[in-house]
Order: sequence, then structure tokens, then C-alpha cells
Amino acid sequence: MDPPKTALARHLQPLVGPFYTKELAHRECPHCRYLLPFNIERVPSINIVVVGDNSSGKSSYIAALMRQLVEGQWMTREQYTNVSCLTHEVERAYYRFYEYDLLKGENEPAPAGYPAFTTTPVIYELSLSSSPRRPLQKFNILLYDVPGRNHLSAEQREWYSRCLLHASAMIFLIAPENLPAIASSLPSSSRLPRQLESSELLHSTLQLLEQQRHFIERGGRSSHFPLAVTLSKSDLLRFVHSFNVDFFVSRDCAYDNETSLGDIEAIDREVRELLAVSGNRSLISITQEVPLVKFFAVSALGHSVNSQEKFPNAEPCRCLDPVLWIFHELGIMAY
Amino acid sequence: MESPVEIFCCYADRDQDLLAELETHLSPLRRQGVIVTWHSLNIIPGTNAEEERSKHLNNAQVILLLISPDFLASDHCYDQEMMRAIRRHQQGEAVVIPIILRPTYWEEAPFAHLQALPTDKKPVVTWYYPDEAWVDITRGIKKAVKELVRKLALPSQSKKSGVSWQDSSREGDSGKLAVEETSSFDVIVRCPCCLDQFYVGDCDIVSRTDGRLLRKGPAPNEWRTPRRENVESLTSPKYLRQLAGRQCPHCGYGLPFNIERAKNISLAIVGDTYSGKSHYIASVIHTLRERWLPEHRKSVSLTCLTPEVEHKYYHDVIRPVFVDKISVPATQPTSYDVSEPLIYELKFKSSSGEAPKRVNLLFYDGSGEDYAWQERMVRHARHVMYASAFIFLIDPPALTEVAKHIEEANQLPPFYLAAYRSGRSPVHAIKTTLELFERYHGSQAENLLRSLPVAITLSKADLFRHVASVAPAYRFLSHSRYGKSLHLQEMNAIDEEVRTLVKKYKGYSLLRLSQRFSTVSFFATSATGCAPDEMGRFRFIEPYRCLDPVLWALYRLGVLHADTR
Repeated sequence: MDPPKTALARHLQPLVGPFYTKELAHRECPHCRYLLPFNIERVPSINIVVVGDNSSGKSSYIAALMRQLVEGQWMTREQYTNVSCLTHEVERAYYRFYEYDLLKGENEPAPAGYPAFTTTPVIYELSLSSSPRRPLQKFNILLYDVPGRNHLSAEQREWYSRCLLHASAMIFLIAPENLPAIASSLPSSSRLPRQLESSELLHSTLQLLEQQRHFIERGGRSSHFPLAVTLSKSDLLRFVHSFNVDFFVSRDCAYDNETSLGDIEAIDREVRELLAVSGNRSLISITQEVPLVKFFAVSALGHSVNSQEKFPNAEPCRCLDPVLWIFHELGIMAY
Repeated sequence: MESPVEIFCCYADRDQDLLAELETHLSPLRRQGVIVTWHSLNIIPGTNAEEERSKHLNNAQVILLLISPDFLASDHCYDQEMMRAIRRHQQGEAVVIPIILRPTYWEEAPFAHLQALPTDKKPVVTWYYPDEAWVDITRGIKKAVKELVRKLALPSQSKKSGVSWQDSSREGDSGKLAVEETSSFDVIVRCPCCLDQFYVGDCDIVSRTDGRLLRKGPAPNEWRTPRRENVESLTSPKYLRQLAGRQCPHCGYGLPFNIERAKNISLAIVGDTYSGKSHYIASVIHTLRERWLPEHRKSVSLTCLTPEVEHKYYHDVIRPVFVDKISVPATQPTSYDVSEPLIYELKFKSSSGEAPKRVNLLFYDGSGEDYAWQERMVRHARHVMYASAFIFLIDPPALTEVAKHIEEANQLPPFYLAAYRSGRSPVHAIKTTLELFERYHGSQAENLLRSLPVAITLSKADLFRHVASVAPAYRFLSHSRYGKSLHLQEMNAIDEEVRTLVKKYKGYSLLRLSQRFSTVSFFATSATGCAPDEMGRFRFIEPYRCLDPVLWALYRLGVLHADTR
């Protein structure tokens, strides 16, 4: 999490009040001219980077995650919680992709993420309060859609490194099709052309992160960094023979005002077991040195493509699990 | 010699040493007879401490909040003393000054909008020479006391010119209309059309009979002339003959004739595109006139102050719905930056010979799109920022579970599921409004949201006759009794009923959002009493419960009395 901003905020005019609100005023980044969130000087930012190789389903995962985050079924009854989007244009682009391109099949599901390579995060302001009489606590949640480093140009790699350097947490997405031992069990329509192995990508990402974190530690900042290694498209797992259909990961989670860390622990165990049984122990061993790591399995659409190469409907499954765990680890919410 | 100003010090027990230092530094002001200070340590053993504390807190003209982490952590300091102090400040009864003693995260506390001391808000204990901080604080308090004494002296002067003054802290640009009440004359008012504030003495006075200019407002260089300072009343015969009215100096809008005398209550009716805002407003007006007023004719009169807007509304909405029994199409998004409200004057007659109490009710109708996007709201529905109360309308099919039941029941025309098919969250408009309201009012938003009445209302409640498998005897499906007084108990029962219903249909987001407000109640209404057929025709028109949210809001704003039995 970024350091508290109160010291800086004291010297800045907040962009609230009639004058700035009537114009929906924003500050502009002096370097890249990006329109910053209006509350940037007052609210701490939590940068969550979603990293994965091509076809790991980053964009559809982020879109499903956004939907579940905003719908708010995960929020507890005991406290007031609100999520509001600060980047409506980016949010609309993700929804368009999810609802039109993916679900209605108006375009081919783009193998490389959509919106096409973008450095623009989608930003939500999360407000929490234990009662209406208590002041609100606010956080900006920034979700970055980050392709695997190996797919980027030299210029994009620099951005990638900076993104990782300033990340508060990471969700590393792995498509089951990219795990050789699992891919062989999948129907031919779900198989992908051979790509760089996910374990290699995770390894190189963690190496870079380690170098940076070492640097950060010397700078006196905390290295408390949650890493959520996440199997995307968990609906495909039903084709894997070694996978027990009664597993927790395959059960729908409605986030019906209740979320418990017990679920998350069970899922972590199950995914580790699945990876071990299916011959993907390398993924587990790579992360052994990481102090805060959990394994998850999510499905952005809840279904695989049918015989007409279309998704029947959207029933996102467990997309919020990694984020809720990150919130818990960063001390934002307790469960 | 004037009596000294009483200063009440709110502090946490751990800050007693710092309180003693403050006392020492304030002693010169005490010796001069400018102030007297009071704090809990003054309580004489054996007396009722709570009573004593409460008496001084309610009487003090200046209240010092000695801010430290312990102060904010203490429920007694925070919930009892501080909240009471802030309420008194808002009501213009006292001046509250936060004194930052120790480093504390107070920027989002309810007093964050108040000018704190020391001058640069640097906590006292972090000063290299803390005495310098105390001197700065003493100077600040002296200045505040001087200003207070000056203000207290003003009303007697202003009465001579028939003008009363408002506390400037209550009348900032972000102030709300609900507090704009005076018994005689308000000098600064807000235009209901462009929503800018202006000084009443700056207005042109024009004839409403022939449009003639009767008195020109002063030119900009005449700002300190008697011509500007003497605000003329429009009740003299020469103005009455001409039905004279003032014009907003910003937008030229013809202001209601009583703008400087009546309390303006802006009821912001906010909802998504299919929530039925126009039908609802039409029904409120119809019910006010046809059912509520006959019951109160002896004590209340209702006059429309915007006959042209009412005529247009009658032609576009009231007549089609109530006479022709046809559903009106959704209101189209406007391209105008200003909107003219429907304004009604409610005049309460007094039997004791006192001047009647007046309030103006302001209704704004807008397209759902204007409430859905911040970009549109700041341009076309800015009135919500100055709302005295909110009535949020929710189309029941926007709740997914209700829509599923409607689909299954298959008894209603498919267009009834428009809200569901739009894919928009049932709380979308509320959230957009809330986000913008908070940004608009900045640190004051917290306090405003605590005091604003918010009615969360399921419109088209008649639909529940179709969706419930065995329709229970919901109270909200019966007609209201608009007797002599307001039946608060019945409203509370309906609030409970609607909350249970929303929970049953998994409208958790709505229930959660309602926690943001302190004065909130749930309602269910039907503007027409039945659903239209596929041709958009109603079999009958029998609105029910439409006035409940309005009357409840007026009760909460102190305009109406309720029967609490």
C-alpha cells in the first residue's frame, strides 16, 4: 500500500466543493498527461497487478471481478461498504468486451487481452465504515491488466517493471490450457498453441519482483506482498480426470453477504493438490520462497464455449476470492 | 460591560495536562472579562456530573474540541460531546473550534471542515516551543470571540431595516436549502432555477401582469448604496397591483414572490429511467390537492407559485395519466443546463394571531439518464446537491429476483422488465448521486448526510400483487389515511415491511447502501394503482401511498407534526 498521504494533502487544494465538482475536475499527471483520480492526494492507493500470459484470460477475469466487486454481494452486513468507479471509460471498455465480444460473440474472443495493451488501470474507490456515525475509511483500488513480460516490447517492459515495483499485491493468472499435464485432458476446442510455460513466466516474474523488493527493503518499505497464484477458466477443470468434482473450487460462491477465510484455505489446499497430482509441482516449488502466497481457481464466465463456439451465459465463479484475500492481508478488511 | 462569552472545553482524560496549559494561556482573556471557561474538572463533587456537563455544553457560545487520538477514541467525547457541539454549530447556536493537541488522523472527522487551531494545524506537542502554539491558539480564540460578539450585536441593528442576518457558516455555497428559513426576511437566497446564490437587493423587480420593469436592481458599482441595502418587501399595494416579482440576477428566472420569506424545501426525486418519476410526481401533486388538502383545509393552504410549469406538467403528465388513463413515455434527457421546478407554497394558518408559517415545496422532474451519469448530473440535475430531502425511487424489476418472478408469472407486459434488461444495478442512481453529493460538499457531506431525510421508495408497488405467490396482506398495498396528523407508527411498520421484502428478493445492495444515511426509511408506493396493458392504458387510476415519503420528509424537516401513538 502506498504511504499515507495526509502530509502531502495538507498543502494541496482538494478537488471537492462546488467549483471543482461542477467541472468534474481532475489533476493531470505532469509526465504523461493522464487524468488522475480526483481524490489522489487524499486516499491511499492499492495497486493490484493482474499478470498472466496471452490467453490466460486477464481481461475477462478483470471484467468479471469488477462486476462482482461492484455488485457488492461480498460485503458484510455489519459495516457500510461502497465501491465506486473513478475511471468510467475504462470500466465501460471492459464491460463492452465482456458483454459483447465474449458473451454475444460479436467479435472473436481476442486471444491477446482486450482492451488491447493498455497502461491505464481501472480504479475503484472503496469506502468502509463500521457505522454511519463513524468517519469513512477510503482506499483507491487500482487494477492493472499486465501481459507477461515476454510478450512486450522493450518500451512496454519498462512500464511492466515499474508496474511491478509499485504493486501492492499480484494476481498471477494461469490458464489450465498452458499446463501441459492438464492441457492433454482438455477437449481439442479448448487447447491452445504451445506457448511459454506458465511456470517459466511465473519464475521470471518472481525473479524481477525479488530484485525490486530487495531494493525496496533497503529503502525502508515493507515487503508485505500478497501473491495470489490463480488458475483461470476453472470450469475447464471438469475435463481433468484427476480432478474431484466435489472440490470446493467447482462450487459456486454467491458471496451472499458472507465470506470466510475458511473457504480460501480449503481452495488453496485443493489447487495445490490438483497441481501436484497433475504433474505441475514446479508451480508450487517456485513460490516456496514467497512469504505470502495462496492458490486460487476462478472462472470469469463459469462456462466453456459450446458447440457453436459461444458462451451460453455468464456466471462468474469465485473471481473475488483472490482480491478478498489480498484485502485481508493488507489489513483493509477482516473476515 | 457585556457579559463574558462562555467557553466549553471538550477533552479526553489523558489530555488534562494540555488542558491546564491552555487554561493558563487563556487567563489574560479571562481577567479582561472577555471569556469564562468551563470543563469537567470544574464539576463540584456531589453534583450530578452529567447534568452539569450537559447544561454547560448546551449554554456555551464557544466550544473547544481538544483533538488527540484519545479524544477520537473516546465514545463519550466523540458521540456525546463532539456530535452535540457540531449540531449546535450547524444550528448557529455556538462556534466550535477544534484545537489539534497531538498528531491525530482527523482529516475525515465530522469537524474536519471547521477552521482548526493552531493556524497551520500543526499539533501543539510537535512545536519546538509549545508556548508559541498556545499563543497562536489564544489569538485565534480571541479573534473568534470578537467576531461572535460582533455578530451577536448585529441583529439589533438589522432589525431596524427589517432584515435578519444568517450565520455565515450556515450559508456557504454548499449550504442546503432546508436551513434557509427566516421568520421575516432572508437577504441571501438561492435561485431555484440556476441554483446560484444572490443577494435579494440585487434583483430587478418586474410586473407579472405586463412584464414591465418596476425597479431596476443596482449596478455593480452601487454595491454600498442604500438602494442596494434596503431590500424592499413586495407586499406593498403598488407591487401587489402589478403582481410584482423579483428576477434572478444571474439567469433572469422569475422568482416566487415569497422567495425571501418562505423556507424552501427541495425534494430531490431521484431514480433510474424506468423508476416512474414523472408518474410519481404527478400522483403526489394530485394526492396533495385531492386527498390531503381537503383534510387540512382549515389550517393549510396550497398555492402553486409556478403556474406555467404546472400547466405544462398538467398537459404532459397529469392529464394523460389521471384523465385519459394513459401511461406517459419516459422523460427524455434534457439539453438545458437549468431546469424550472414546480413550486408550491404550503401556508400554515395560525390561530394565535401570529404570522402564518410558509414553506415552498420544490419538485424537479428529470430524465433517468440525468441521474445515471455524473457528467449529466452536474449539468442537468444539479438541484440534487441542494436537496433538503431525498426520495430515491426504485423500480421493483430492477431487483433481479423480482424480475424473475414477473417473468415466471407472465401476467405483465414485457416492457415492465425494461429496468431488469437494462442491466443497471438498482442502486445505480443512488450511488451516482451519493458520490457526487459527497464530492460537492467535501468535508461537510458527512454531516449533511446525517441530517438529510432519505426515503428509499419502491415505486410501482402494485407489482407485488403479481410476484408474491400468496400475496400477503402488505400494509403498503392499502390506501393511506391522510387524517389530521401523520401516522408515524404506520410508516415505521411499512419501513419494516419493505425492508423485509427487499431482503426476501435479495436486494442486499439497497439495504447496505441505506446504512450510509442516519435518517432513512423505506416506502412502497404506486402512482397509478395498477399496471398499464400492452397499449399503455390503465384500467383504473387509484394511486396509493405516494404522499407517505413526502409527508415523512416534511415531518423529519420539522414542517409537520406526527402522531407517534
